[in-house]
Amino acid sequence: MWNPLLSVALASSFAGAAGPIPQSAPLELLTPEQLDQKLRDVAAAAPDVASYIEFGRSLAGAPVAGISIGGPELPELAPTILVVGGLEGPRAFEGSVVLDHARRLSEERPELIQTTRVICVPRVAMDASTSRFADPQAETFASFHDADTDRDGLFGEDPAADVDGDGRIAWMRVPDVKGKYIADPHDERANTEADPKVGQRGAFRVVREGFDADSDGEASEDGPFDGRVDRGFSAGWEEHEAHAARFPLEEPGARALADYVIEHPEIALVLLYDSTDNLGAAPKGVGNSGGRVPKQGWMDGDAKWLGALGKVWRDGLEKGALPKPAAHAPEPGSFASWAYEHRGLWVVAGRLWDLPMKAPKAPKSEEGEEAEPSEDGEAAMEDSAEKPAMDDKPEESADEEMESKEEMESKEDEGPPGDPSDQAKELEWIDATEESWRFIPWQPFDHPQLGPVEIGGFAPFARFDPPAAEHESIAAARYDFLLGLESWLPRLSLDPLQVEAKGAGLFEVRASVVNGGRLPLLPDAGGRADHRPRVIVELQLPDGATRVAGDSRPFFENLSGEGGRREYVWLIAADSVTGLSVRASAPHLGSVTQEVAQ
Amino acid sequence: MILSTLLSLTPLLQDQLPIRPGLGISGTPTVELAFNRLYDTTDLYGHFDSLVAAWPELFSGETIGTSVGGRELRVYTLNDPASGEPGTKPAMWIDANVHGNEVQGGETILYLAWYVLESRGSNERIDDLLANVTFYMCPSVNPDGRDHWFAAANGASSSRSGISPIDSDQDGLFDEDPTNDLDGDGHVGQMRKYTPGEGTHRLNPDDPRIMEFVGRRAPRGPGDWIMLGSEGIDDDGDGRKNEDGVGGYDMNRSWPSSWQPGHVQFGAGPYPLYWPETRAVADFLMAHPEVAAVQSFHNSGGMILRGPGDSGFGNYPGADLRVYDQLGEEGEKMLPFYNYWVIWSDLYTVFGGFVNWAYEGLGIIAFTNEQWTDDRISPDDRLDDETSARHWFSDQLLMGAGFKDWKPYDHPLYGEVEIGGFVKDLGRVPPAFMIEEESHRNAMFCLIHAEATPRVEIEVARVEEIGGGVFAVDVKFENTRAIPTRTARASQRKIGLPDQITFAGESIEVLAVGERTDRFQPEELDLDEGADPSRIARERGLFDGEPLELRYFVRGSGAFTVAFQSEKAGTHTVTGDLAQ
Repeated sequence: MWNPLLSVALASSFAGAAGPIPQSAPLELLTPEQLDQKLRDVAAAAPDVASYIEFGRSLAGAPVAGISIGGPELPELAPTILVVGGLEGPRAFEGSVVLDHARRLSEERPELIQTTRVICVPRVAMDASTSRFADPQAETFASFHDADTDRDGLFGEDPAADVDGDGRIAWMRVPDVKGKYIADPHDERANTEADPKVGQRGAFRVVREGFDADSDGEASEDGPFDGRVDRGFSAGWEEHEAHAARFPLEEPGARALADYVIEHPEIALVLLYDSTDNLGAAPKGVGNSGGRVPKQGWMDGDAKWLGALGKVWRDGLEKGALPKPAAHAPEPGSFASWAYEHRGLWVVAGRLWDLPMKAPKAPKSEEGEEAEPSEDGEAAMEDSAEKPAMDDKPEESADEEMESKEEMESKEDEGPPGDPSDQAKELEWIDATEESWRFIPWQPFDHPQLGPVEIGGFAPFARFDPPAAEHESIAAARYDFLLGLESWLPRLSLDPLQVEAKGAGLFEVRASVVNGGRLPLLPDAGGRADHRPRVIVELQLPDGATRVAGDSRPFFENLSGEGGRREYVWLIAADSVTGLSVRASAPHLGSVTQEVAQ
Repeated sequence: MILSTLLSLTPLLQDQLPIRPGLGISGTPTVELAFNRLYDTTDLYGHFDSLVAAWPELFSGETIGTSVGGRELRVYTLNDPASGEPGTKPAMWIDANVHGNEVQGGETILYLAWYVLESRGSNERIDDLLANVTFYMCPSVNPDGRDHWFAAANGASSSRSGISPIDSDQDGLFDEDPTNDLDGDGHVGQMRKYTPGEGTHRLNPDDPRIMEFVGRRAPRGPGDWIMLGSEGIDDDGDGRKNEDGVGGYDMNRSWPSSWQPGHVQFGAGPYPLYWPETRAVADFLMAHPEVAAVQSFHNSGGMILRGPGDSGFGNYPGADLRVYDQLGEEGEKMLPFYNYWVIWSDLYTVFGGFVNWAYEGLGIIAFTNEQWTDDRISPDDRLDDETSARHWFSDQLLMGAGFKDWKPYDHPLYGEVEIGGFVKDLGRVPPAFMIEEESHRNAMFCLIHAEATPRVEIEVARVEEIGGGVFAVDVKFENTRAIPTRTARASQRKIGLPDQITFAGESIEVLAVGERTDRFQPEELDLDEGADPSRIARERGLFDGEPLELRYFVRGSGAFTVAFQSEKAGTHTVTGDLAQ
């Protein structure tokens, strides 16, 4: 059924209208067309190692694409890392980092791509990303599936809109005695929920900037799209939630990526940059089984390895650049959840940046005087609403927490009672930096349907785009992390064959298959999955030889990390063992062969 | 003389008699179809097409997708355009054969279409049904599997899958070690080997065709025979046989509601609706929100199944269970030896089953019938053992055609073995002489279900001027059928669009509207708080026996129209006049 609102929305989103991007970005934030061209350019510049891949098209027809990078000597089936960004519409920066990885890998040709194929997919939520470049500019997660959100029998009849004509879709404070918000006494610009226990009563409701197009008293409550790419995968899919759409992988671009993963068992690990985070703090395991339907989340054995990788991730950045740790479990319906729980892949995921919740702390000079401001990401971590357990915190954090507590206590003497809201804390950072674009001061506005309101609040992408000055350092640190995965990836190797003559033309052949990487061949979730790849071991006999004992083609699924091994023994009858070899192979590990030493 | 007179009259009588499908004395049907055998996809579609050719104004076919193997996935629509195009009235979806070997539902659907079309004009209930319900019929959700079952050597239970290659044994090869028709008889039998004093089975003393398990130890064992499983060899040389056959998945575990991946249940696929056949059906159903009834045919066991498919779901809402129970219990009476059961508690757990999605995901009353049960072989209590009874049935009623006797075979791995067993078309599908009865009874169950789809009647009960130029208008809405306009499930999970009621008149302004809650006190109203009283959206459906009475407060003059618009019940209107 043709939906005119959907068509209009898609048409405008692809019009390429230049929105007010408020910063000059070293890592450009690209339109879908620009991104696709960049991918092609990077691939074309290094055709011997890089190739452009189009996985499929988004609902609106934008290519969902990536670059495959592997050294010229890399065999067709080689261990592969899939690096994915931009699963959420506003996360254009993550995609730019992934694109930067691809560029550097193809230009610098590090050791990683001599042993491992790396497939970089900068952006999946192509259609949702376009609202950044549209006029007006909007922060959009949803890009498909129109639900009747307000249950009035109409679809998408009341979308968000740029009421004040400033080129951005921001927020409205609508006076309402039944509203649950008040202006934060610590910072009147911040919204915070009224607390009846201290005598506060709500004064307004906060809604997306928009008109009341359907005259039902509500503004912007039923937009043209509800489905989110990052909530549309089948693991933990939230049926009947509008953001989950009608069925898993309804969005064709996301489905194309999923199909690619399914059809490429050589993918051994997924490195993901989005809101999922199992690196910012050691994730908590959810156990190892949980009955017939396993619990969602990282299994205990895997959480241990992810915790170790997370330390590398955290060590790779200055403390001040670390984003807040996120929830321990992947979001329901997320790509991370699907790739890990249903495909059984190693998934390492981290957030690249979050809007800090505290003013940058001035480092102490040698004389003990405060100097120029700098950032303190650890402190930001502690302010997070989703703090990790104490056990999970980096070592320095306990002291930092004490310090922070003292600061709070001293502030309590000076200002209104209670803690500042999270928004107030974010504003504190904005005020202390040259990042004023991130907040649009509230302005009174005579709304044509709702009467007097205020329009303003956090600007689109204020919470997603890192300061331009940090772009390169974040990208460089994450690139180093990617290169470091070389030593972590499970690696298949064979010890030299041991052959012992037993007499009468009989020989005992021993082969040991070894995992030369730090991670186990499969995560525990991979051992649980029904399509787990197997390592197949093949004894290749010289002409005239026969196998007397031992399996012809044994297989196994997993080896523990850091040197796990498995031995096979055969008895063969042969005149000579010259030419005898053993081959071990698996789709996600490639193959290795050992021949009898001459 | 008498005989020759009768013979000469017979064709004349048949031509003159009215067509009365289902009854013994009937005229020659417009389209003669044989309901005493099963058809492959091409022949099945061909018979549907012959119905399309005979009743083009009522019956049409379309291709909604293509199977993995490139076969058309067809849906046939039975609709009377005189009462409105499809989409303007309730519809029933009927499908079959999502499992490749579970074929006879296709013939049941063919029978249903034939029965309704042939009955039109001579059966008032059929005329009424056709005037009020559209039927969407998908005779095979898995045409690849259907044809594989017909054309290739198979057993009664092989194979459920489609034909998309799967690396079932995870060795990097796909479908490389299927069962094999070693003796070339067109069936996949069983293999047994004589191992005197070292076996687990013995021959039944009364019928040596039957293998009895005795184990290896006294007092019953050891036996003299071992069973070696289905007919086949080790095609890929990995030491195992038949471990990676054609396909290897289950399209009735691939639907979105309560779906779980393959490590939770076999065959679910990488994500829901992964296979094109399932996606095509889902797209069709999501594009046809008027579908208010769903029936899916499988075999076997004699069951009328409803969800939930897994215990974690909890119970279905009571208002919907009353509808399910009414239909299911009637079905038990119509279908001898069938049981009306809940899938997870009475059968086994199913995650992502089709009828679960139809109800839990789409809010539609949905049944799966597992057609045919060995109980139908004979009700005689003396046939108490299932295998013996099946042999008896083959011997006495099929003249032995249902069993391939054990015959020696020189197996490349096991040496001398014997191969034998029941033929693939005995055990899960009815024998030829019972196909029509099975089809008829199941088709009638579908029609009873279709008759239960919602029908809305509206009445302007009262128009009263209450002063100041304001009128109170009472309008009564009633659903006279068992299935509500929106199931309780649909209301709870906000599935589909709410029912919408509009009040319009050229010179009339609607001031307020409320639902009457007390028949004697008109001022007792549950006032609608929506912004526009002339157009209200109602999440709760209209249930049989629970009429909705609205009182409108309007001002103005002249005629008005009240409309009840429902995705599943269509649009119904009534007119009135403030001057009445």
